[in-house]
Amino acid sequence: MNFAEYVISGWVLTAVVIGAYWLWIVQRTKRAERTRDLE
Amino acid sequence: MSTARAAPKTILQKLLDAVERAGNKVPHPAVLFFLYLGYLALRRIPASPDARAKRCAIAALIAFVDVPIVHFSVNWWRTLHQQGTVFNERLDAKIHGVMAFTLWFGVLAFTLLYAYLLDRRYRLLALDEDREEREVEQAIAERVGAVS
Repeated sequence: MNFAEYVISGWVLTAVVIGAYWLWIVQRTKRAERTRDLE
Repeated sequence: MSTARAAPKTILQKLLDAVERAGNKVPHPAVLFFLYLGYLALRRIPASPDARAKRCAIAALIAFVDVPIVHFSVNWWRTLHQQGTVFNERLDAKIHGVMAFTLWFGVLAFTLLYAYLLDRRYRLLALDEDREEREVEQAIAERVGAVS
């Protein structure tokens, strides 16, 4: 791997981790709001 | 041929070497990572919301001590790292051109992302706490109803 590939891999890894975290928050929020609306 | 040998180190020199070696480990990002991992683990320990909040606030304050240590480590342990590039003693940023733009763009982007994720996480925690409170109230109402 050359230098640019390490940099791009780092950005991709960061984006995947942050994206997964954001999706997890969105899913949990939707579930919590649905539960609140049902009660 | 040189026959000169280094003089044996005094106890004070050995102690200073140990401090240097230990000090070089403290600003390591892994130490910060494990400190905050510990904080998150602490948040997961079941307790009343007040007790958990107090316990975690104290742990966060203690863990935060490592942040200025990481920041100033480039001046305190000079064998570890180059001197500060942006926030050095003369406040003379030795960075320019596209590198400076990338740095400040990254700082701005991640600060905004952090604020957004913090807001979302706060909302989620508020919803979770609401649900917990409703469950407790419901359980109390059921018990009171069963007794009367």
